[in-house]
Amino acid sequence: MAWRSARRAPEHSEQPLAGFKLAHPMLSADGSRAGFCGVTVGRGHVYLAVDDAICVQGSRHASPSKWCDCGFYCFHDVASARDLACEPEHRNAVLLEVAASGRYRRYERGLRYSRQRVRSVRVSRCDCGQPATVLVDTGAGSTGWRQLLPTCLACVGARPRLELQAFARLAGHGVTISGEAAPVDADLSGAGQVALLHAEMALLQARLDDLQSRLDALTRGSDG
Amino acid sequence: MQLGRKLAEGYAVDPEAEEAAPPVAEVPVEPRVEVEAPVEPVRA
Repeated sequence: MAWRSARRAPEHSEQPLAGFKLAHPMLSADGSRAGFCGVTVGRGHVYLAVDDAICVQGSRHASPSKWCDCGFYCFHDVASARDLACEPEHRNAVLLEVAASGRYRRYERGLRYSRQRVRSVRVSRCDCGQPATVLVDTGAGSTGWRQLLPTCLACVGARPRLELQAFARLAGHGVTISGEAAPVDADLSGAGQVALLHAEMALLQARLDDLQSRLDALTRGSDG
Repeated sequence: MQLGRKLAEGYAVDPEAEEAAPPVAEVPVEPRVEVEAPVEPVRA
């Protein structure tokens, strides 16, 4: 009886494979280049819009290797990437649509591969819930690179900002960037809208009361 | 990132990425240093 070999012939594709992943947007220290930083394996390494994988463990073998966990990673479907984005430490990450190419290893839920081209960047919401329209310095980063955070204009304050389209231009290679749409009030029922308006009025009233008390204090100070 | 069980290996071509890929850095060749072991004189 002949033994059946479990080894399958390598696949070959004449076009890149589509994938989805999370990353942190990065800006070079001189502000001339935009890149990305992984959220799991290789989170200390910054890659460009088109780049080749290297072994982040410091080995000089070709990446990805059978004996190592290095290489670019992505999911087959966008839902898996969105699921990962629910974890608290990944809430501020952006969603990348990538074209995977070169040598690859195909798994049930995704790929590990050697060459990557970022096609599009989808920016998450600002922490306040509004759509993010700019990127600001988080204060984190790695040598030569600053990590950026998607933020709305109301929360940006005095921090230096980078417009989303400026980030896409710096990334180059036709990378497109978009943000999430504003919350849609029409999804709320009538009762939900009434509750929301009551909450907004209470907030405004509290703000007015605060302003009035500060104004009174200033008026008393100037009179005395 | 948990990807599950490995199913296959392969190679995919992306002409756009190959045109734009950064040049592969050449590994500098370190000069080879020949060290001659001192030969102690042999006394007869």
